[in-house]
Amino acid sequence: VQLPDCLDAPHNGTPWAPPLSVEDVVVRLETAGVTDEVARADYGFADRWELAEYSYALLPNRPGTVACATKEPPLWLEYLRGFGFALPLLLCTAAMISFQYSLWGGNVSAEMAAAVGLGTVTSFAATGGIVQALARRCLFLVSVDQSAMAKACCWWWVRLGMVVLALSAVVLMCASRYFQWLPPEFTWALGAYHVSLGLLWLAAGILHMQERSLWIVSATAIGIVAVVALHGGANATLAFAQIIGILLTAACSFLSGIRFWNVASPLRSKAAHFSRDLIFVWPHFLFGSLYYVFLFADRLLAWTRPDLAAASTVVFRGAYETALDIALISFVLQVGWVRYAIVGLFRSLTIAEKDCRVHEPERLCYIMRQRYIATSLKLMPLAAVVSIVVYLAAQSLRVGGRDVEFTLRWSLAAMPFLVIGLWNSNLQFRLGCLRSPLIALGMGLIVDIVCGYLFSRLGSYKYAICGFTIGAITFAVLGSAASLKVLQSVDYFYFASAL
Amino acid sequence: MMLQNLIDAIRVTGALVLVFGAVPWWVIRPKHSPLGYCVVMVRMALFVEMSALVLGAMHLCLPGAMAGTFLLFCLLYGRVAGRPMVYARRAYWTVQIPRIVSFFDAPHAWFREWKANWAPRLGTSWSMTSKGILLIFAAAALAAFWHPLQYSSFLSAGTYSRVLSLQMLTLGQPVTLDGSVAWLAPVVFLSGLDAASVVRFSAPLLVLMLAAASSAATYHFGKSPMASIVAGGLTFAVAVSPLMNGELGAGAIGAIFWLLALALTKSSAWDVAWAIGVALLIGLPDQYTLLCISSTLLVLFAASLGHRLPRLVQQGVCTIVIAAILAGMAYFGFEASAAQSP
Repeated sequence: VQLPDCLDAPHNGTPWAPPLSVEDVVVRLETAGVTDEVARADYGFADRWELAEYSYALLPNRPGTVACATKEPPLWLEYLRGFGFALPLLLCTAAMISFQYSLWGGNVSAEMAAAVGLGTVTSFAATGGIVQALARRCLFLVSVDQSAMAKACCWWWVRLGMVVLALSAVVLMCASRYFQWLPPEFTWALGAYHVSLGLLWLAAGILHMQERSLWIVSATAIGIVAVVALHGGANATLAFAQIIGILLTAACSFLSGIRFWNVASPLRSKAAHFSRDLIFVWPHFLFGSLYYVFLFADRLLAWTRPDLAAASTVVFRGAYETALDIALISFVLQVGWVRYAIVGLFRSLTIAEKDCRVHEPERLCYIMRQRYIATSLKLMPLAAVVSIVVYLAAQSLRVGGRDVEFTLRWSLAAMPFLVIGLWNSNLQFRLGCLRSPLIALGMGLIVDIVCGYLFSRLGSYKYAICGFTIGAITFAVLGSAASLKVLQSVDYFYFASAL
Repeated sequence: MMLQNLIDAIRVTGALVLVFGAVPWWVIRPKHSPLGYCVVMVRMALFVEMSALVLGAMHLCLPGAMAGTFLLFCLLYGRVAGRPMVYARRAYWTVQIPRIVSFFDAPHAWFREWKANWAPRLGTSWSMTSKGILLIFAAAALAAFWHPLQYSSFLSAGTYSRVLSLQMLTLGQPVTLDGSVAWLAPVVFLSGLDAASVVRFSAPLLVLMLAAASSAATYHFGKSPMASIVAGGLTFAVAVSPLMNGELGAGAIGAIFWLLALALTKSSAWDVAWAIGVALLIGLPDQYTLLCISSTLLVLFAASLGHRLPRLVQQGVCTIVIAAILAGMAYFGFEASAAQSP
């Protein structure tokens, strides 16, 4: 007699163990829909108990299938993956050193620099939330084996991002003309950089989500080559060459994204509306938007400090930007730690969960709080070493004057706090706490704007960086307090986030 | 050039309406009546005047600081009045997010609903009295804007010093504070124009506000629409006459709030105090203040005397007075234009 399929080991390698008793066999049969009638009609037994007894005599001799233990990658690799997003920036920096210009930025007039700067900042603010929401939703759909749906969802969000970019560009250009932020002839540059860079961030967001950092580097390299060819070879204006280069990079990234989606899921999903996803992902959307506003608020404050000698309201501050670009290197080297810390903490959580008995939730929470504090403290030496090395390197290269040095010191001081804030936000999002990261970031942003505004208006423009540092400290402190509170009930949140 | 001036005039008018009308109306939410508008105007003017003067003393009368204090005022006022900002409520977003979702799902349906909601409101029919008042107001506005739309120069030396004061104030520079222009600082920021354009195009609007305040005060005491129209017209004529040239100084701007204080006497003692406070912050009363207030009081006195006359006679007298005022305004307007033309 052929045994029912439900009693055999699955062929796809899913874990399987031989039954422990006849009752166990009966349960397996009932679960698969083998009733007394089925046992009688298909297998010729009086009822399922008789079938179970017959099967049990054969099954214990069969070997069980054990799940293949997947080897977890080492934590240092997670650290490297954490700052994979910065590789294109490093490429741009190398191009800047070699050619004096890059995919964006370079030796341009003060007005054009203001237009490029404003376009860059606004493009981040317009697309930051969309990229966050897109990544969150698509990664969820991929995790539940719905790649075709994830693909459709991804392109819906990208279309939404394009509409938002177009509308925000029109609003931005009108506002610039109305309030005379820039001289009228530079309004088009503002709109062009806003749209093209926004498209690039959307495309890069898709590739980051698919963990294809090297493909973004390749696309960036193609864009830089195009800029060099057009500006250096064909004598096109730098702005025109850069916009073409950025659009080319975005197109290459989008094409790569399409290819990877098609490999992941050859099925064509029906065009569908994913607007209802907003109900689930609005905290991520808001966090993404606020985060970029937080990152750039001090720049905007420094650029808009009233200057009677300036031709327009927005004045690009080269010294300030130089210092922040140097500090960005420090940030990139530290932010990789966030991924390392998150992966490490969740591995610890899995182990601690197995170690603790079901009636010991307090012990689990205690262990996890200790791990959290220990992990947070591990950032200190890394932050100190990175900041000192970056500062000394800038000193030895004699970059800028006193303004650069002042801004650099304050921004280097802010970066570890920003990383701590991000680590806390990431942890809370992973545990399903959606409100506390928004509160921490929102408060940090308010403090940043109020302090930066007062300092920059009552003193020099460079004091805007003090506001950023105080805001980052607020973000880190509130985030840490919220994380410790969440970890007091980590058993609940871990369970709730898995649902 | 004329088109550019017209655009600038619209920008200044829009900014004034937004700062002293739409936003405070939305925050304060008074009852829908002429006195309700007066209350909104007085409270917002007091807040703007005080914040501009305090920030100006610290050289901080800049767009960000002004916007921040404005937002803080809206938040605090809403909280004190028991109407906290709806955006801070979780329940608000619980309702709004599905609405946003429905917009993305079917934008056409959303626009259809919006149209269906707004079409009846826009199609409200106007009474003959309302149309008449609107016509007179439009004529007065045209007369008041006649000079600023054509000439960029000012008619009095005092206006130049006020322009300079406002420009320095809004650039965060050290300056002797002038209460008569400090309250225009948010209009400078919101209109995106320089202080000269703001003073130039706000002058006719202030003249209209003076006339409206005079009307409100007269209506409040006399309860006669005709008397209030005559009082408004007379005050308007005084303001655009060669005595003031349509460019109100500190005293005449202060008169707006003295008249509003008069209009609010029976409704709220606090609002009367606020109105007097704004008037004093703007400037001490001078001969122009007395002139504007006395013209209103004159009409009030005449209205109380003519109260016993037959209605037909009252209407005849009012028509003659309004016609005389309009003729006088037209004459003064052309005189001023002729004096300015090269």
